[in-house]
This record gives sequence, C-alpha cells and structure tokens, in this order.
Amino acid sequence: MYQKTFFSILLAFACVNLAWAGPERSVVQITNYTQQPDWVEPWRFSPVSGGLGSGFVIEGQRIMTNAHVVSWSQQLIVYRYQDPQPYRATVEYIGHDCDLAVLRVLDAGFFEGIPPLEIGELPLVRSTVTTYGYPAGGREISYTSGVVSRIEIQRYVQTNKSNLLAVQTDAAINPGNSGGPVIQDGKVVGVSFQGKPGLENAGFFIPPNIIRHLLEDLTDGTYEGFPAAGIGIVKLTNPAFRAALGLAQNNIGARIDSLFYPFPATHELLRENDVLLEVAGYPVGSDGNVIYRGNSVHAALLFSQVQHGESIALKIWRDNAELELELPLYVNSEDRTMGNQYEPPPFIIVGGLVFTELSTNYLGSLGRNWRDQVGADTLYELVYRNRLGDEAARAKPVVLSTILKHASNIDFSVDARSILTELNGQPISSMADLSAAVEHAEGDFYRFRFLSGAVEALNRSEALAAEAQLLQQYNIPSVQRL
Amino acid sequence: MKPLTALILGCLAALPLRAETAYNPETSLVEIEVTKKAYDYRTPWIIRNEQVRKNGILIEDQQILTTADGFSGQYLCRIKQRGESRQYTAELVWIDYYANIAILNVADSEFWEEMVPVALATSIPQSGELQIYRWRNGRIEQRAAEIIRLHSGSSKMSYVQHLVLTVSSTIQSAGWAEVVFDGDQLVGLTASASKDRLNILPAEFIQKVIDGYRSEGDPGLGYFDFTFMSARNPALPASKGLDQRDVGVVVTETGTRGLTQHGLQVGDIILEVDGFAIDSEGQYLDPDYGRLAMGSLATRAHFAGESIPFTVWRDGAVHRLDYTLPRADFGQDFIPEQRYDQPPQYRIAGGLVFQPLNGPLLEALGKNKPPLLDYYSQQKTLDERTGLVVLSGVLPDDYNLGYEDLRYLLVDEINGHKISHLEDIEAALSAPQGAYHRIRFMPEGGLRHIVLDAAAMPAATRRILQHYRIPQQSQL
Repeated sequence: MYQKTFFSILLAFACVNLAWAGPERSVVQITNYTQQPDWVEPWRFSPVSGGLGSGFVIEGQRIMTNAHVVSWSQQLIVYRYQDPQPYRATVEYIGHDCDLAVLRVLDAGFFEGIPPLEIGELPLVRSTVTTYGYPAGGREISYTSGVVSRIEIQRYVQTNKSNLLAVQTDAAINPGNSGGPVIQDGKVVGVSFQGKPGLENAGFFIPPNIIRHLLEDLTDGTYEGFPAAGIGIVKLTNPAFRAALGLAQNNIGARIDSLFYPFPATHELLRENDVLLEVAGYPVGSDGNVIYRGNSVHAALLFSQVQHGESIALKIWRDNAELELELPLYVNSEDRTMGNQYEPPPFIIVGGLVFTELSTNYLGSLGRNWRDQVGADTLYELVYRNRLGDEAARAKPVVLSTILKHASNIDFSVDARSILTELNGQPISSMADLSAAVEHAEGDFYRFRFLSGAVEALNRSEALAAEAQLLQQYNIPSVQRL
Repeated sequence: MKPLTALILGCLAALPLRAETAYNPETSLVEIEVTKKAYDYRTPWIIRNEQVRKNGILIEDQQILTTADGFSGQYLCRIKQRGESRQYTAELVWIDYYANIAILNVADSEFWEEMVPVALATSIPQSGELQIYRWRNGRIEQRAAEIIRLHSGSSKMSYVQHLVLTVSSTIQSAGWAEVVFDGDQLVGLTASASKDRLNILPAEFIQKVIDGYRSEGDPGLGYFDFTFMSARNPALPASKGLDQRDVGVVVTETGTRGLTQHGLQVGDIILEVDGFAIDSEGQYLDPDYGRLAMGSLATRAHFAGESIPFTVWRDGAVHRLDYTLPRADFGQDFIPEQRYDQPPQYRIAGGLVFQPLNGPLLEALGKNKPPLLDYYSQQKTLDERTGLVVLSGVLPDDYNLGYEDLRYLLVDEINGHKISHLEDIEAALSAPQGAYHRIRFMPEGGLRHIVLDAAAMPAATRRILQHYRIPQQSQL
C-alpha cells in the first residue's frame, strides 16, 4: 500500500517534471530597443523605442525569432521562461525576405537547462497546432491552439516584396507572439509572424521549409536569401492560347508570360511563352500550381526551396516539344529600393542639397498621402522602369530628398522629391554615379538636370563652403554615406 | 438725436437712388437649361441624360452670352427670361471650349421684346466691390463680391492661359456663368467656384474672343507650347554665362502639347516676350494691370497664327526670334486631355473592350486610376506612336476564358502591328497570325501576351454584344 502510494507520488512528480520540460522552457521573450533612420534626412534617427516579441532556442545555442522582432535593433534583451534575469543578445543573421532571424546571447549561461527545440515537418491541413509566445495583454507566456486552415504562398510583409510559403491557422496570433514557435507533437512546425487586416481568426506562421532554408543558407557564414527564377508565371486556361502553343486541351502547363531583369541565366535559357510543365519533378497545373504535400500551391514555392546559385530542373514546352533544362536561380541583389529596406539609406549632400536613393521607404516616409506628393514619373522610376531591361533594373534612382537652406542655395527652384538625372552632363542612375560626378566635378558650377526637365545650378565654391557650415549647423556627421 | 435721425434717413433715401443707377438685370439676364448626353467612360456604350442650369446675358446683336461649361453633348437648349415660366428654345450659335465662351440665339422674336443688351466692360477693375446676379426660382438673386486679385490663370475648360479675376462672395453653388457687374458694366461671368472664392472670366477677354470669332477665319486662341522654370537662383543664369540677376526664365520643354515648335530650344533663357521684359519668376509688367504671369501674353493681345517677338539668351549670346503662336488644340495632344461634344470611343473584339487612353477615361477612374496609365497619360511622345490604346476590361465569355480579370492594360501590338488608335486595331485584326490573334501589352504592366482564336472572333463578338446588351461593336 505504502509502495503504491510512493510510486504514485513519484509518477506524479515525473509528470510534473515532464510538463516543466515542455517547449515553453525553450521559448524566450525578446525586448528590442530600436532606432529607425529618417528617410528624408538620412543622417537622423528616430527616438529610441521598445518593442516586444518572442523567440525560441534552436540547436547551437542560438535563438530563432522573426526578423521584424529584431529589426533596427540598438539593444536586444532576452528573458528565459519564468526568469527575471535580462540577457544581452545580438543579431547573428537576419533574413528580412523570410522574416526570420538568428540571435546569439552574450552570456553562454543563458542556455543552461534549456533544450533546443527540434524543427519538425510541414503540418497537415486540419491538424492541430499550439502557439507559444508572449503576446500583448500580460507578462506570462501564452498558449493558443487551433487547426491548420490552409497552406499557400503569401506576401511576407516584412519586406512586402517576397512571396513565400506560409501556413494559416485559426490559433490566435497577436502582437508579441511574433517569433514564437508553433508546436505540434513537441516539434516546431512554424514561427508565428503575421496576421492579415480584415481576416478574423486567422494568423500566419512560417513553415519548416522556410526555416530550414534559412538555416542551411547560414552554414557558409553568410545569408544570401531566397532566390527567384525571374519569370512571370500566368495561368494557361484559354483554349486558343493552348492551341496556338500546340498544347493539349488539358490542365497541364502554365505559361511564362515575361522574363524579369536582371536575371541573365533566365534570359539565356528561357523565352516568353515557354510553358512550364514540371518544376523539380512536380507537374505544374494550368493555374500555375503544383500539388505539394497535398496542398495546391503556386509553383513559385519550388523556386524558393533551392539555395542561391543552385539550379532547378524544369520541363518546359517550346516549339511543340518538351525540353528539359537546369535553370540556375539567384537572389536579385540589385533590387534594394523596392520593398521595405533595413539598411540606413545612403545620402550625399551637395551644397545643402540632400540626395538619397528613391525607395519604397522614402515614399512611405512622406505620409499616407504620398501619392499626392510625388509625380507619376517618380513612381514609374521606382516600380515600373525595371521591367524595361537589364540596365534599368540595376538603376537606383537618386532623389533630391530635401534642401538644407543656405544663402548659396536659397533660390534653388527645383523642389524636393525631384529625381536627379544628370550632374555636369554625367548621367546619374545611382548614388555611386552621383558620388563620382561630384568627385570629378570641374568648372565653376554644379549643373543639375532633373527628370522633369528642370535644370538648376550651384556655384561650386559657394556650395563647398556651405557644406562645411551646414554639417556643423545641423550636426551631420559627414557629407555622404554610401 | 434729431441730427442723427436725419442722417440715417438721408442714407436710406440715398440707397434706392444708387440702386436706380445700377444695373437692372431683369431685362438682360436669362436662365439657360441645357439638356445633354452624358457618358461614363467606364462603360462607354452607355449614354445618360443630364441637365445643366446656368445663366446667360444679352449682349449686342441679339446674342446671348454664357460660358461653354456644361454644353458638351448638348442637344436641347431652352431659355427663360424675366423669371417667367415660359421656355424659349435656343440655338447654340458658336462655342469655344478653349476660351470657355458660348453664344446662343433665340429665333422667336417675342423673346427679344423689351430685352435690353448690356455693355461689356472694356477694362477689368482690380479692387472694390462688384455685384453678382442670377435667376433663382423666378427671382433675381444678388450678392456682393469683393475683388481679391487679377491674375493670369488657366481656363476651366482647357490649358489656355488668360486673365482671371478672383473675387470673394457668399453666393452658394456658383460658377455657372452668373453675371458680375460693376455698376451697369458687365465685368465678366463666373467660371468656377471653390468655397467662397469665384473665378471670373473677364469681359475684356470675352470681348476679344468674340471679336476673333467675328473676324474672318476665326483664328482661335493661341498657347505658348513650352514649359519653363524660374531662373531666380543666380547660379543658374550664371552657369549659362548670363551675368544678370533676376531676369528671364529657362525653357525646360518645347512642344509640350504637341503643337508646332517655333524656334525655342530647351535651355534658352527667355528675356523678353512681345516687348515686355520677363523677370525670373516669369512675370512681366503689364501697362494696364501691373505684374502678371507671361502665359497670358499668348491671349492678351494676340490670336493663334500671329508672331510674337521673343528675346532669348542662348549659347552665351542674345537671340531674337519670332514665335508663331500655335492654336490650342486637344487633338494634337499625345494623350488628349479633353474631348468635347464627342462620345467616348471604344471597340469590342471577342469581349475585349479597347479604349483610347485620354483625360476623360482617367477622370472616370478617379483616385483608382492605375499608376501606369497615369504615367503614360503624361507622356508627350512614345516611339513613333500618335496615341495609346487601353484594354479597359473584358466581357466574360467562353471565347475569352482565362482573360476575364484583365483590365487597364496598355496595348503594345496586335498581330505585330503597333497600336496607337482604335482604327489600328481594325487593321491589325484583319491580318491574324495564322489562326490566331496575338496581343502584346506594354512590358511594364501585369501581363504581356494573350492569344485569341481568329476565326471564332466575329461570332464571339456578336454573341457577347447580344448577351451584354451592347448596341454596337465600336464607336470610333
């Protein structure tokens, strides 16, 4: 009788200990103190503000979280489960395109007694998952459960330009949950990351495929990101178009409508109106989707599963015949002005004229009605011109972001937000062009030409004198940052 | 108290006397009802009926003067006089949308009995109070207006620049040719209103336009078809070797409206126009009205076709040239800004609705206009095209399966033919590539290619027109 009681007590303790050893011990709370740059006056940074998020311990004494939880970080503090001790952490790698980041904690003792969580597999639709994290509304860890609603390609809002696989769940994912693990059968099957305005009972998490891609990418010590094929895939359901391409009237094959720039290998190997029959061995439907682990997902998913510089096997239809080829995929590193950026913007000051890169961030910083403040030609330069060719795709238009008024430029009559196209006859399509043009400027004047056709000038000697005064007057650390 | 009472009574007695010497609108002011066809460019085959009520005034030679605003698409015009309910049918004698002026006539001689024409003021007052009149429910409404300023501005109906008198008044819902008087002189007609501000089309300008209309050949109004920027930054003229401050403006574009170019070059500094020195803000000193923007010099004393002397600084030297004033013409725009008295153009082929890109289409799209269309609408030229055509939408049918969601794509080519106008589509579709029509859109848009069955298109088009109750395949 006593033995039975003793064993019962032991068993109870064991169960409690098992519960204590649950995933929550590996879930951390993150406080990030941030400063964001001013995109119009790029040497300035915002006042420090704090934000909360979640993360979890992975192998190698590292913490995984969302990129957006640790963006613009000046000071990162992490807390263990039910431990008030703050620990300093740093961002080791950050993948803004996939909204994931890996952190290091300066004090190795942080990881004592914390088992790393294992990355699981893509969960099945309708299966149950549990989120762990530190959402707003309280200080303790919070758990929510729900089912996997669907698995699709979604726009990741961290950059607002990458479309990757994401899992939708009806488990509540609230601010502060970001970066926390989504657990099934004790393994991480996702990282909570975003909601969607207008949808109720719908949160999204980053699936294991994306997590693994990031971790594999990091093994060489640098983060490259998710590559793309540089093609526009559209559905091919019109019978006439299918007949014109010599295709059977079935549901196989999606059309490559256009080739983007700058993807030289893609332009070498593919043509407009090639038809994608298979990608990496997966048959492509006429809607552009493949069946991936029981889910109908856009074929773009498969391109994002290979690493930068690797190739993917394609079976295409061209000139009434099947053709198999290996297409190398690359991350488009030239595209640094579209989407949300997380590097302080470059700037060059010329006689008080402040030039920076035209970017989505720059336009966004003009406020909600930014479209009323910039012309259609400016938007075209940022969003559309890159479709016209390799050179256009590599251009990073330079915008006059503001004018620091000085006696030497007080009557400069071109308004801020104008796109600079020439300096002293030198075409300007990047900050590097502008830097070189300023460096090699000769003669008495800087002569500017803008996209609108407007021309202006500054007296060079007066401009140089003004720069020195303005740097001091406005506490600007240097005349340029590239 | 007695002296004060006497003073007040004296003032009250004086008021009617002053009113008697002022203008009596009842015998010259009329109310105009315009019945017109109105269009929605998003469904260009639909014609709606619309009525506009505005004002007019009798001037010499039994003519009724009003603004052109609201007449586009008119087919019935009726006029009421003296606040009576009887409507007289009027005829639109002449209209100039660029100047925003129209002349009407009434054939019924009874209309003219006891009606008195008014005189147009020969100069524009620049300060003081004016009176605004209009008919409202059979009674004259009179409101005071205070002159704010005279300036050079754009016509409400076009890009033409002319003198505009801006006044302040409490009158509501104005801007429909209410008449503005200074004593018994017609100072002008209201052309637009915003809150308590009204822009007046000055009588002096109106008289000049009417004189032009009456002259042989009616030359029409001219326009300086170039853009310029201020040269107030002394470094700018200095960088061009001009060692003078605060003079001239720099030409930044010529042929902006597709009108002919006359000797001006981009980069020229305009120093004088028509003998007037131009300052670095683009203003000149008008002998009658003081400092005004130079744009109005195109209409102040000239008509289209006349030469205006320009003095410019170019390549380090002064040059003199004659600028032959081109006639304002929306038809010359690469992307026409306006289309008056014309229904929207469209062509339907296989359920695909094609429309020319123009100002009214963009206006119909409002704030939702696609940025790419907005951009192209501001272009002056593009390759060797003379216009642009948009696939504005698709009427879903089995024939165009898969293309149902396409809208507002700029057409590049059809069957290898560059497309500038709807007429080009007709020609291109007559030459299919094999058994198919191949359509390419501009590369910056969301989609580049579509293909349609050539042989099945005519039958599909007929079926679709019938299904969607569209009366005709095209309106060119």
